[in-house]
Amino acid sequence: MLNRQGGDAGFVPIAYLCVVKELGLIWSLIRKDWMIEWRLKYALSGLMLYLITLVFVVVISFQEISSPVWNVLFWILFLFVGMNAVLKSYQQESGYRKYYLQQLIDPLTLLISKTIYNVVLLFICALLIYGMLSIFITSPVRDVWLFLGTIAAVSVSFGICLTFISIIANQAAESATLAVIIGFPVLLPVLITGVRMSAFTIGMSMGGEISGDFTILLAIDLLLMGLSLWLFPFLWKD
Amino acid sequence: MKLEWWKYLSIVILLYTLLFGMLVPLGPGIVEVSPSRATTGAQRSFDVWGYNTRFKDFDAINVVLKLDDEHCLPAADYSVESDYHLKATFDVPSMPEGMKKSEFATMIIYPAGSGTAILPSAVSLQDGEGGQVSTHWVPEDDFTFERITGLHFPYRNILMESIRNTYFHVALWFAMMFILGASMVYSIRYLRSGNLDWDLKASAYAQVGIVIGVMGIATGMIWAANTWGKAWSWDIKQTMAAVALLIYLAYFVLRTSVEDQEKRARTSAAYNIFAFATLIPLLYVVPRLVDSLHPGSGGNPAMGGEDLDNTMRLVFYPAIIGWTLLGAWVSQLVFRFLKVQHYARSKNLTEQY
Repeated sequence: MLNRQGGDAGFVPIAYLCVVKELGLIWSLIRKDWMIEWRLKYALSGLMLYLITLVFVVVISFQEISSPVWNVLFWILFLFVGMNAVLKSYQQESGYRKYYLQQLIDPLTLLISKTIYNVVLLFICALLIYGMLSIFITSPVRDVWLFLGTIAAVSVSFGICLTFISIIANQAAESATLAVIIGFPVLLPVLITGVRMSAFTIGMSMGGEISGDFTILLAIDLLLMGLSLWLFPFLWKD
Repeated sequence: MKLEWWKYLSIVILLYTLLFGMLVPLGPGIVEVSPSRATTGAQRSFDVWGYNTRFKDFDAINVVLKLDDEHCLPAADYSVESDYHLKATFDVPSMPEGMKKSEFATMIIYPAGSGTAILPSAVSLQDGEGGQVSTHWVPEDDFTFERITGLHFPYRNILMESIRNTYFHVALWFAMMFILGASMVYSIRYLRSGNLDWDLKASAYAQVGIVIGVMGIATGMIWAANTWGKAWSWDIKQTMAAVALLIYLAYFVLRTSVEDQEKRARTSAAYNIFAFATLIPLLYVVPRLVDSLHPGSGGNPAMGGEDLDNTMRLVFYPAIIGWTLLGAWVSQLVFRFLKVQHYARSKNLTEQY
């Protein structure tokens, strides 16, 4: 059991227990989000239908797609699908459920769980877009693992950014329109970096090293995540 | 009303910027050397056209072609046609050993006016047949080029007189960053205290910051129309500047779309901080990744180095302070207006208008 001899010795297990409890909370919040999404079905199936339709329209109307165009198209599809997937994050947390959550858990725990959930969702969306595009058109991606790394990194940035944007937009009456207005310009630097990075993976040299772009994304992630953690409690309380 | 000295200071500084920045002449420079290419090993003569030069005032002028510090060549003969036109003849020896077969040479003329006139990459020299020329390349130390004397701004090709835009376009953009920074600080103070005055101040400063930003873009576009040939050419910095303005316009959309006052203040304060933080990657990181048409590009913005000499600093730094102070002054006026408007709304006094 706990060490009773030293004063400080007990600190380690307690801190450990706190972390485990927090992780458990985050995990159960993520599971809750997923279960709601899975049981309601319409949000998830709506998203999938949106994704499939978008890819279909693009493929049918373009017919022939060169590598640079493919690169840009992929990111535009990802932008639209991603925004659709994430910007409704807090819509279900309204009314009584919001009060319940406000009483029950720390806002930071909620933010972290939402961010992780959204990052994973975005990554899955990106994979689906990539997969569907590869089925219909021969994919110009040469270095698949690097490309997967790129979409993972961009998904993280998008997830952090959009999760924060959606709580801001959720405060307003016209939240869907506002979210797009606010979200697009904020996402642009990430999107440009993403386009540059995937250009490397399809063999178009944009100058410089891809590791530099990863570093920039990481710096943006840290900056935005820090700000989100600081500002979220102000937005969550009523 | 208490005396606010810095408001007067801003007026004084901006008048100084306008007068000094517009009236100080450019230093002497070389506009064109023709022909711009020549082969070595023979006598070659060049027409040189100067800008702000006074060739007729001097009895002896050094006209020198320079490859590097160790290899310079004085003109064998020259004749002054007018204050702005000079013909120089060189006996060009073959390229020194260890150098490429073709190389750009810099043209240096001293004295040209109030100092030395320099044109980098003036002439492209190519190794020729190697005729009999008795001259040799000599080190630069053999000449005494004195630095430009008197007060003037550096002459740069292409930029020419438009270099004065530094005190408006660049200084305005700096001032915008300071004003928007102040806006963010007020947002932080609002979140800390919950006092609605801070929120109104943040909004006022953001509004003025955006106006200054638009002025910065407009002066930049006028400049670009004259130097790049097009007012808007989707240069990376132009694009990012436009996006930065979009981010702040979204801030105002956000402000109008939240009904509840406290909620609006909290939400917009959070967004304001977030927006200012995203400006940093937008304006200082992404433009460094991509080539830009901006002066001093190829990775680096044009601060320091040869683009900003000491005379220009005399105007440029005060200009930043002047624009910032003026922005702060106007922001205070906007803040008072917002406060009165806010008061009137809370008392239902606005309905008659």
